[in-house]
Amino acid sequence: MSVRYGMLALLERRSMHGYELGRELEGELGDEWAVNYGQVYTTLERLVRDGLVVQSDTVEVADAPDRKLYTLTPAGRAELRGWFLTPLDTTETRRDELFAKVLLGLTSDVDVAEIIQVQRKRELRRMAELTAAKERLDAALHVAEVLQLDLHILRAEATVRWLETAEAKIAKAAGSGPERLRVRDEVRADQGGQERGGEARGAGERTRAKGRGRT
Amino acid sequence: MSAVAVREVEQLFHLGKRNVVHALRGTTLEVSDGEFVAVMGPSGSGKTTLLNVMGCLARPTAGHVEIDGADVTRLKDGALDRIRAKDVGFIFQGYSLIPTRTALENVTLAAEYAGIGRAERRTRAREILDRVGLADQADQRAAELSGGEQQRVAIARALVKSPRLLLADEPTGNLDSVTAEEIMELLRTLRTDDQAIVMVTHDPRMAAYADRIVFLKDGRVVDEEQLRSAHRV
Ligand SMILES: Nc1ncnc2c1ncn2[C@@H]1O[C@H](COP(=O)(O)OP(=O)(O)OP(=O)(O)O)[C@@H](O)[C@H]1O
Ligand SMILES: [Mg+2]
Repeated sequence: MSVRYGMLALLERRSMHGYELGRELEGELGDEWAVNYGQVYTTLERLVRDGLVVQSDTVEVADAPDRKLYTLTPAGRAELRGWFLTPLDTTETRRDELFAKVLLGLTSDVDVAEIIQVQRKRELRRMAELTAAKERLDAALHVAEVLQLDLHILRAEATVRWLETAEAKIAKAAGSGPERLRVRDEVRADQGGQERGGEARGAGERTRAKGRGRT
Repeated sequence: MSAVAVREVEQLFHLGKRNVVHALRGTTLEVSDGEFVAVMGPSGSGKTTLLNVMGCLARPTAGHVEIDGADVTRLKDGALDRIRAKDVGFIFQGYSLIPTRTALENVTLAAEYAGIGRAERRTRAREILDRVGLADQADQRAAELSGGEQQRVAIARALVKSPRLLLADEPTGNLDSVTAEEIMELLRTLRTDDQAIVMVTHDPRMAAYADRIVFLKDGRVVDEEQLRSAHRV
């Protein structure tokens, strides 16, 4: 997302100066949203150009340059509402290195179960750290921080669930040549829906203990 | 000292004459006082069997079980029953409350089995129900409570006797994710520093509350990961 909508949302509350906008964006959404003032003013210029924001007033400040106050227009309000209610495209498009490791590992000398296990432990450790951080916070007072930690925890969980799914399906098909290709297709399909990993779990896992002896 | 330890435990189940299931194969696991261990592993890997052996609900075919440093493997049934009633608190996925009894009665009964005197057990039961947030539901029958509330009663029931060891088998398996989190936070805040927990779970988010994760596979501990220093004791 561009800083654009964050700024529109802040201006919906009240008119602000550029300086305030930059500061509040970071204050509201956390460090990850820190912007420099160059970015703030470039964005404001574009918003004014597009008629979403107007420069409403200039406040005189003693011993400092006058500050321009920005205000949301009705068109800006409509634009903001459109952003809130249009579903985002969350499809993962980047190349996933973990996926590549597991798939390429299938035809390599390496033990895929080990690739999976080291990554699983890594994710679980991170989840434990995030969980500990969350426990130190009062959920009623630190809503933004807690929700951000939840987001990271749940994404790590999706990775763990996918690893379990992959492990079970690979173990099930281990040994039989042509099956291998089918595993690839399944793993690939699951990867597309990683967020839903939890549901894919049970079935493959059940057959796993029987399907595989550790070599 | 260790709160519970199983050493080289074997567990065989005979299904008819020829069919034998080898559920635990030389499993060794030691849990320190105050340590919180999560047990993960695929379905059928022996997690529940391990928990049952630790909690003296089942006798292993071979190997040793120690509770609080004492070998309990060869104790008579009566002695094992007493240990279970006094020193071990169980929490199950399906809550296992007596549905027709009130929350308070369910908790009081566990205190009675543990040998706590009549007057004290009622006070303690009320107090612990209050701490799990169920002061107002104490006199409601278990069957009338929601799943999350029933699991809180089960936690109260397990903790009322101040056991050395808490054993939980998928305690959040039936709950939605926010309720599950609340249950984990209750467990972590209510137990005392010297109480150990062993929790079986499939849920990585619940395992993330533990000090250590132990991975079980085909009846063996195949790996483990220290998540936090078990600084409690
Ligand atoms: N009482 C029993 N009689 C016969 N077989 C049993 C008994 N209890 C467990 N088993 C077998 O022992 C193996 C381990 O079972 P266990 O219940 O410990 O698995 P688990 O890891 O808890 O699995 P899940 O995650 O599905 O609960 C399984 O093959 C199971 O069928
Ligand atoms: Mg089980």
